[in-house]
Amino acid sequence: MDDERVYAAFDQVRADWVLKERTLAAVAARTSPRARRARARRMAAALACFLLVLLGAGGYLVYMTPTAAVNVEGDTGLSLSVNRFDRVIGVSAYGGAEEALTEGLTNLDCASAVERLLAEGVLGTDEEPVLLTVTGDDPDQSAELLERVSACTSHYGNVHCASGSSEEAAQAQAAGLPLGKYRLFVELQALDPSVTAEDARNMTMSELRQRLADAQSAAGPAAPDAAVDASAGNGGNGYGSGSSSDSGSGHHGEEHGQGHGSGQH
Amino acid sequence: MRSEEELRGAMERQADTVRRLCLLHLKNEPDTEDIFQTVFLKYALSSVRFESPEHERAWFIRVTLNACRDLLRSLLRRRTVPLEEAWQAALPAPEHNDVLEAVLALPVKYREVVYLSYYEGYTAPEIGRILGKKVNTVYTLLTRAKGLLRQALGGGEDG
Repeated sequence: MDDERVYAAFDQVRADWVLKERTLAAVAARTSPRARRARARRMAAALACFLLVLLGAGGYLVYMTPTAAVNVEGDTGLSLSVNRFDRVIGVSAYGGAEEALTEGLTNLDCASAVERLLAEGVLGTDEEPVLLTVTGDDPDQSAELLERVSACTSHYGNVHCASGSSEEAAQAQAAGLPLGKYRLFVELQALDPSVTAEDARNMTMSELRQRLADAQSAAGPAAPDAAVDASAGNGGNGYGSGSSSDSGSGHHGEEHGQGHGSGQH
Repeated sequence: MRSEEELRGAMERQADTVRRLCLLHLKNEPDTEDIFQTVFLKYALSSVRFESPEHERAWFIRVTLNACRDLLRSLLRRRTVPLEEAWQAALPAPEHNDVLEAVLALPVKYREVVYLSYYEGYTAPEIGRILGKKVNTVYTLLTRAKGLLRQALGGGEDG
């Protein structure tokens, strides 16, 4: 093989002037001050979009993170998940509550949502009081929320408010009971250990209260909670009435408030 | 960033080398144009100071080979073009077409060493440095490439 033939074959391969000129023009277009400014603008716009998306996603995440809950229990029950801005971000119904009840509550201010539920009069009656329990990890938010909810329910005679701890709420959830019902159940179980969570689940709040009143009567005056007026619906489980909210149950779960007085201050 | 004069000077000095390296790897003119823009844009934005014309040429060879490999990798993912058809489009004047055809018919690892050795005049150690291969590997590639070319062209014993 002739080396020169290979050399000559390659040597005839040249870049034509059209290719050179087009390359020079393209490179000049991409390195001109205007092109660099445009590139910088594009980069800035992309960065701004990215930050906006990040901010949006972060904000959404913060907004959608529940930090407190308000349990509303009467004949039926609802649990409102509340974010750090006191807005309702989720509603779950239990105890046969109508799904229709939960409509339109999402994104409402928590106090407004509670007022709306009570105004519709579907959760409780004079005979069947409504228990409102505020739970949350942040004591400040829980206290403030309880105050606001209590204030807006003060004109309902049959609404009793209290605060609870997240731990207690978790225990209630584990037992498959709404928090207010769980408190009554714990109180009843202390007097009558044969009662199970399953039994409590199958009882209405009125029935549970009646069982508690019976058990307290049976236990006699020696029982610490004998003086509780269970028929009033606010007996001994930490629930105060109206604006005189009772946070005797504590926010941190050290004491759960069951049977520590009438709850009416 | 380099001035327009510097860019024009480099274009005059190195465009043919870049074009030949493109011929070794690429299959059509648009891809060649892509490589030209990539390589000369890199040059325009680069602050490398060349100590000699050889240094500059070696830089262009390395940057072009890398750009070609990157493009081929992306092309492999995108599409395929019949090789013969592409070579026909890229081939220059007919005088030495048989030689070029024989070189371009070799696997790419042979094409590169043949070009760098026969045309650019690099030694095996220099080719090893440019391609990132061991010197012995370069010698082996060169020997095999010469054998294959000899077979293809039916040439003499001096290959």
